[in-house]
Amino acid sequence: MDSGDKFEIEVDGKTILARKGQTIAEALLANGLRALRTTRKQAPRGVYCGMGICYECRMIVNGIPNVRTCMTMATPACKVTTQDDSRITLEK
Amino acid sequence: MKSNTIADAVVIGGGVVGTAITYFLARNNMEVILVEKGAIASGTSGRCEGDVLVSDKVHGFDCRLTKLSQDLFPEIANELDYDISWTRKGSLLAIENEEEMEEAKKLCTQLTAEGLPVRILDQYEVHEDEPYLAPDIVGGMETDCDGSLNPMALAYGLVHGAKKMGARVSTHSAVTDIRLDANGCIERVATEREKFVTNHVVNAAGVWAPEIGKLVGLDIPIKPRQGQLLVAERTFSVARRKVMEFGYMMAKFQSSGYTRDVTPEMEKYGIALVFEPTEAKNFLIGSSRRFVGMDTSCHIDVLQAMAQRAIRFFPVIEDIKIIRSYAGLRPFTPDHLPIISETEIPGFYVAAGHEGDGIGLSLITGKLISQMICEQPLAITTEPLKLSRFKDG
Repeated sequence: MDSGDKFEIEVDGKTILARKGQTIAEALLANGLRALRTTRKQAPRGVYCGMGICYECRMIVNGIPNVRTCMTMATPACKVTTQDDSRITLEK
Repeated sequence: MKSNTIADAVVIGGGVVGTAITYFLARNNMEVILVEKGAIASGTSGRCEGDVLVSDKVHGFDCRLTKLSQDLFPEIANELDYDISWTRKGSLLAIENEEEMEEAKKLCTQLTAEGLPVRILDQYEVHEDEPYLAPDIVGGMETDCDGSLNPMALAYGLVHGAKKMGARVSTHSAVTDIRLDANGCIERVATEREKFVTNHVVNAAGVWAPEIGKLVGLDIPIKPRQGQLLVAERTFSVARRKVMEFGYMMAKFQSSGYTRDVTPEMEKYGIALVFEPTEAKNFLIGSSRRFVGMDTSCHIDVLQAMAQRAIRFFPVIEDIKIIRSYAGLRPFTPDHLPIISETEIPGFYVAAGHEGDGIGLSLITGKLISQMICEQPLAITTEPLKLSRFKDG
């Protein structure tokens, strides 16, 4: 795979590289990022089923909360934020 | 079959109405038995929203009755061992156009005269209040005293409280027979499992009240009216409190022939916006009204029309996921008032037909029936609530 297949996405204000065809969850895992969300009691949560069933990997994507990152393709310049379930806000 | 048990009163129906009656009777030192064919809150009370509202009532008697009931909730919430999630954040009726605004102002004057804390919000104020409302909403009517609670917790809390005061509760025990004595007075109630000797029976069976009425030859004109609800995922705070649409009330109550700008499906399914944020940060979307017998299944076209209506008022929820839907049967009466009444059969009482107001009216119903049975002065006249009003067509 050549470098043209790579692009940047923003995670909690930092830039990481994603590859064309990756879901957001895949890109995060490939960059060693495993804690994607915290529960109401502040326990970390990450990718669990990886196929859209368990809803554990929800994050704020481009301002919209509760997006399943395992079902959402990474796109150039998309902005991903760790979700805190104790205070979900709309950042649109 | 067990031998006969003797009781001062038998209450039939373990929803919020029957459990409230049981609670108030027990509090009045009556030996009371609650019988329920399923589990507590397994019918209408477990399939509703949990509203305690005066803002959607007709001014006058309906309003006064509801306010009396509403004002009992702080006291009862305090008395019960269960947390019933009683909150009193008020409610907002969203106003779509100037025609509605004029009516809202008139209604506001009438409700203020009844002593209710009601206020009109202009376009700026309503968006300050609920920033996610569609920009073209021209205003709102705010009612500060409105509240909400968890109806299952209320029913179980009342049962628990009544038991502590000596009431007995028999669930999964359908009433099969009610026997009268030679003078036509209540003598005995039989369920699938037990027999109770008593002089007082309260029919609080909601949509099943007509069946119980038939056991003593009484015609009770209650029909099940189905209402469906959507549950959205936990998300950001879309609205801080209950929001409904003013136009539906206007179309329902006014004789002016006002019609809303809605789709034929919304008209057909009786759809009106009800937006209810829950304690758990989910929200409920209603509402629909259909006569489909005892059917409690949801239908996608109804759910879609409800969602569409909600998006009209809160465009921001378009991307929010729905996680569940459910339907309940509201006990509908021809004049939209409940039946809280003695009957031509001495000792047989009816407390049913509250349609969408059962949670809100549960406590005053419990209090009134308990006052009737204990021969105490009534908290409010029950003349408009008598079963006999439906006679002579």
